[in-house]
Formats: sequence, structure tokens, C-alpha cells
Amino acid sequence: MFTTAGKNEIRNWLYGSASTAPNAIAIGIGTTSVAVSQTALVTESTRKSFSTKSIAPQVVKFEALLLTTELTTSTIAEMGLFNSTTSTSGTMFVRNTFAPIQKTDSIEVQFEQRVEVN
Amino acid sequence: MVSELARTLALDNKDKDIIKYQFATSEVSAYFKFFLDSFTGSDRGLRIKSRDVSSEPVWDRDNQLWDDNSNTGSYTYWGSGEFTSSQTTIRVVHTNRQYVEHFRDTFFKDTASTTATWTDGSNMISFTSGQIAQSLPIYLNNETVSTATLSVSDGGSVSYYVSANGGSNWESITHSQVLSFTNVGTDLRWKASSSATTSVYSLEVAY
Repeated sequence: MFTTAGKNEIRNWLYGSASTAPNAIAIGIGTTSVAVSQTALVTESTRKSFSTKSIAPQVVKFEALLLTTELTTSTIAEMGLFNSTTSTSGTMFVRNTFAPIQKTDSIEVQFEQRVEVN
Repeated sequence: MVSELARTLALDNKDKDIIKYQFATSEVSAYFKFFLDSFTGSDRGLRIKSRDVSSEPVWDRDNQLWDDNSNTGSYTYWGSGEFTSSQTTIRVVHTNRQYVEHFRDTFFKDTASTTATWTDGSNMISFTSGQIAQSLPIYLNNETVSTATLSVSDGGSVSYYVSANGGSNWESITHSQVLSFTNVGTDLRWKASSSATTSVYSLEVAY
């Protein structure tokens, strides 16, 4: 879900105020439902810089990779798109929850978030 | 007349032609036209992939040999570029349980199954008779999908199908229909086939 805070960051850019584009995906274990008013993950565990990003007309795709060696005992269930690589800081543009994934050192997990500007 | 003007303006109506008739008999002849412009960002889908590397070769630091990581102890992955197994999609979610597709990119295109023209920036899928467009999973979240509602904008001559079990069973669906799946499942996809040269401009599936 695209948040109000994220839309206001875009508004700031349109207005000419200081604004920062997303550069990281945060991953957490919170299961609280998403809401447009949220500004942070419920329980953030780690934050990863984008491994890649790409654009198509009116679309941006962001990707981040959680390595086998990271969060090896966590049950991840939420992610967010942020404009800071520092945990629990920055503007959250998007938050999503998903059925819990038991992260172990045997699996790597890739996140692909697609955003449309319309 | 003021109240009529206010009432008309209050309507979510882009073209206010109706207003001009209020002026037609007065000394002022005027034409009003208003447009509602919007600009926003939308979450158009999160996809999560996973790869089990437990049987991938790793450098065993304890024993100084190539090994797999099924053994305990210290090891170093040679790097993701050396992994031979492929990533598998394990989650796909959308805001408000609604997949919205304007065909601006090919994020959800099943390349192996699609014969119609669906490219980045095309803003549509173009078909000739007999061609097919098919999606990758549009919802995959360890949860049974039992219903789907389709909304489409197209040029006609297109038949639509949805599958709740990853394409094992396709069930016919039409615009605005609320389909209760005969074959429920956890992997929702859509498919479109054409019987003429035509296009699909947008497609939404609520589930």
C-alpha cells in the first residue's frame, strides 16, 4: 500500500522542496495490517539497499536481496520501501504484509516491489 | 441559477456542458470546461522469490574443500552468481486484494505462454486472432482463493479465464462477473485469448 507519507514526499518534489527518492527495502516481522497512515514497519528487522532498480513508462521496480546469512532465524512478514538505508528512519513510501516466511540460512529471499505513477 | 451552478460543479463531472444552458438566455454566453487532474503513486504489486541453496556448493572453511552447506560448521558461499538453482516465486500480494494492470511493463507477463504482443511501454496488449496473453501469479500468499472479479477494457473479441491453482484449471470469466471457483487454490493467474485482431487496454482482478 502506498502511504500518505510517500505521496507527500512526491508532493514535496513537485513543489520544489527537499525530497529523497527511495533507496532501500526494510524487512520485518510485524503482522499488523497495512494502512495509508503508517510511517514505519511495525517491527523492523533489517534494511537492505536496492540490489537493482529499473523503470518502464510510469513504472518503477525496486529489488533487494536478503542473503542466506541474514535474518537466519526470523519469521518475516512485512516489508517497506524507504528513502534511507538507516534502520527506523526515512520516509516509508510503501508497506506490504505477506504470509510469514521462515527465513533460514538455507534460503535467500528476493523482494521485488513495483510502483506505478499515474 | 447559482444553486444550479453549484450543484453541477459539485458533481464529479469533467465536462460541464450543462452549465452553458443556464447562460443561454442571458446576456452572457459562456462555456465552461473543467478537468480533474491527478498525480499519485500506486503500489502495483510485491513479488517475493526464494532460492534454497542448501545443496549448492560452498567453500568449507573448516575442512578447506568444496562442500554443500548441509554440514554444520563454517562455510563461505562462493557468491550468488555461482548458484545453479533458480529462484521460485513464493509470495505475490497487492493492495486491497486487487490486481490492477495497465500494461505499462511486463512484470506479470508469463513470457513462455504469451503469444500476443505485450511489451514495456505499450500500455496495451495487442492480439491477432488466436493469440494468447497469460500472467504469472498475481496472488500467491498461502491463502486459498475462492472468488475473483474481473474488470477489463478492451476492443472486443477477447475471452478471459482465471485460474486459482496456478494454471492447472482455467475457468471462464467475463467483465464484472464475480466468479466462484470450481477449482480453488492458492496461485491466482489470468489468461486472455482473442478471436480477432484486437487489444486489451487494462485489466483488474479483485480476489
